[in-house]
Amino acid sequence: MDLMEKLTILADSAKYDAACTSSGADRSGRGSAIGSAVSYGICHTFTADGRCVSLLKVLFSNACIYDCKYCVNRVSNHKARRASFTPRELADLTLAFYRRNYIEGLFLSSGVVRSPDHTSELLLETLRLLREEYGFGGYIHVKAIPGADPRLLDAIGLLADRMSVNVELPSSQSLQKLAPDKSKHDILRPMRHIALRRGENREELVRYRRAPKFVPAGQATQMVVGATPESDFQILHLTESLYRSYDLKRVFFSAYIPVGDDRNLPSPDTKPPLLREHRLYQADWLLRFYHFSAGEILDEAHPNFNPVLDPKCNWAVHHMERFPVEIMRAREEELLRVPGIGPKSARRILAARRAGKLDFKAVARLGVVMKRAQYFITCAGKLADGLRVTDEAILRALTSRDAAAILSPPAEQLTLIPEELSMEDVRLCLKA
Amino acid sequence: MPESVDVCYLYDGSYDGFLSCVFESYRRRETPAAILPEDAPHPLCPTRPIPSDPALAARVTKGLSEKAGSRTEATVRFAFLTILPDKEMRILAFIRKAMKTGPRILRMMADDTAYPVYRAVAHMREEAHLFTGFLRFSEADGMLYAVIDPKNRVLPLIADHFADRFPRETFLIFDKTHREAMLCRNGEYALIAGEDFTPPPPDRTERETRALWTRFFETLSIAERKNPLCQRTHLPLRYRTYMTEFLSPEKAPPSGGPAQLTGSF
Repeated sequence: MDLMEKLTILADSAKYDAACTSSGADRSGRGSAIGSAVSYGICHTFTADGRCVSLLKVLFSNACIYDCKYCVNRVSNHKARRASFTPRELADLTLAFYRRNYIEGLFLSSGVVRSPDHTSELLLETLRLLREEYGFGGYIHVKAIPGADPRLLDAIGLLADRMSVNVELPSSQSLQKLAPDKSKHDILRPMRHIALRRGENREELVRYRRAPKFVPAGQATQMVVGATPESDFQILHLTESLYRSYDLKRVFFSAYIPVGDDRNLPSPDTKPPLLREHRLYQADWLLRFYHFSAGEILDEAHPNFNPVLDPKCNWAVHHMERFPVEIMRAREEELLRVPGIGPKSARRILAARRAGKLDFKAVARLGVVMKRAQYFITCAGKLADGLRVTDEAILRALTSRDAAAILSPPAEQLTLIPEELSMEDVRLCLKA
Repeated sequence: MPESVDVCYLYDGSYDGFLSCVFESYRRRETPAAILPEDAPHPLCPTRPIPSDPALAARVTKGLSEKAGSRTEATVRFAFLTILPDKEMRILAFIRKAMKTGPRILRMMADDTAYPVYRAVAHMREEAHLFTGFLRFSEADGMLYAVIDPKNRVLPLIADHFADRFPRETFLIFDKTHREAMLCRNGEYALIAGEDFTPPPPDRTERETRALWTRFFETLSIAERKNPLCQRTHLPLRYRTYMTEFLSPEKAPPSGGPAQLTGSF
């Protein structure tokens, strides 16, 4: 099989992996033969579905011995064509792409070939070639293979920038049903191991500046959304506890795209739940950068996201008693709660207000989205001139046209939010 | 700003030349009607050619750093590379304001004088950042070549990144908009004003690697999630001119014989 064919098969099998970020590691290229890493990450292109391509994202092999129902590479899928790289082939391809600035590095995952240990050894050999033989200093993200020997994990972790273990599904019941060869224990054990090793490594680095770095860009994970019955609240809660207990850098969500018609799966003509995935990412951002907790965003009584409002706006319209906040005095956490203000504009407000008074024009110049924010802030004690604060005006400002389109067929778009709709109606609707 | 006079300063287009105009404006305690590169279309008002003097430029740089901090000085340097309309006069106004306020200018992000300058610099930084990802090299005879067509003069901003990333390569990046080239060998680089650059035709290895990359790129997209608007938001069409994965083999950029960089160097 020629390289073109292999690459096609093994990229095709890897494309459902959501993570393709190259962030978190900072390394000059001067110490290597080729390659550097920058902490903010670099996107090298965007595919037709609008996703960033930063890394050469492939499976090492798709000849998997497991039978996870939601996965195209499951052993029972006899239609799948199988292929495997050799470590040398993959290392050479990575360098050929890297030199031409196509990529930031390699994202290596694999089906389980023969055994988790055997597979991990193949991944380790690829990394060893790249790092030690070719002196490659670019970014490497490796998927840990659940069930592999911890010593192999350690060796890989010293050569990779980021590692991830996929949670796969948001609950252990779902896991049992759809991924019979993987258990919660299998998944959490390597995750725990990597987290502990990273903790030890931080201490080593304090003591010896040149101690080898273990997974310097941290650990990530991913789960499939929409293949199983968990609520958004359960998923978000799991996400939060993963950040807290396993020191994760990122949790990725991937909307389930039908791959087979096992009776445990949604029917094959199900549309991928893209809006739900989008809302989960919005909520994930609120957890990581806006000091929100999962319990503030959703709760037992409202276990699913509002399709029309993003989670931050949704929170704001339910907490109108906290607004408006005064731009010249509000604390950073208060500013971050305002729809239309993000971490960057909040920081700019803090800096700019020390240099002088801010009016609405100034606030807009600092990057605040006034269309949304104007209902929630005052400048020098005053609301924006001529602003009519009515419930429907607020709601209209917070709802995107796309969200409106989801709720109603195009012909009815104009009447989606009737004039007489009161805030009470909105709240009722949101709580429904 | 001091009294406006009906005179246009003309300078040679270089940064030192511009700073010499700033010095002149301070020395005469006057604000010119415009500061223009010599080759710009001449206005109706009387003109005064200002010779470029590195010593005077250095004095402006030093004064600005001491008074308003090195970050303010860097902002001015970067602002000169941007496409800010009427940039010379706007930067002059910014310098005058910074000399009064000191480093506090950096916090005055919404100020009428400072805001357009900061915005132009931010626009350029964003463009430079995107080019660190979207730029594509081709290989010929062991050397790497790339062509970009940025709006701002981003080459000085991205040069360090690529020199650091490829410490053992010999490569050339040509900015087609500003006819400027970065030549780098073993991590050391120089920026050169060039006239034009013609990339060499791709050899077999190069064509095969491009085909592999294009195939990889196309395979990665998930049909059920197709979203061209989202793709255009992140990767506007104007960046795609020289990107391997968007070139059909027939539409490959023009290439001639062996690589050539013609011009004044």
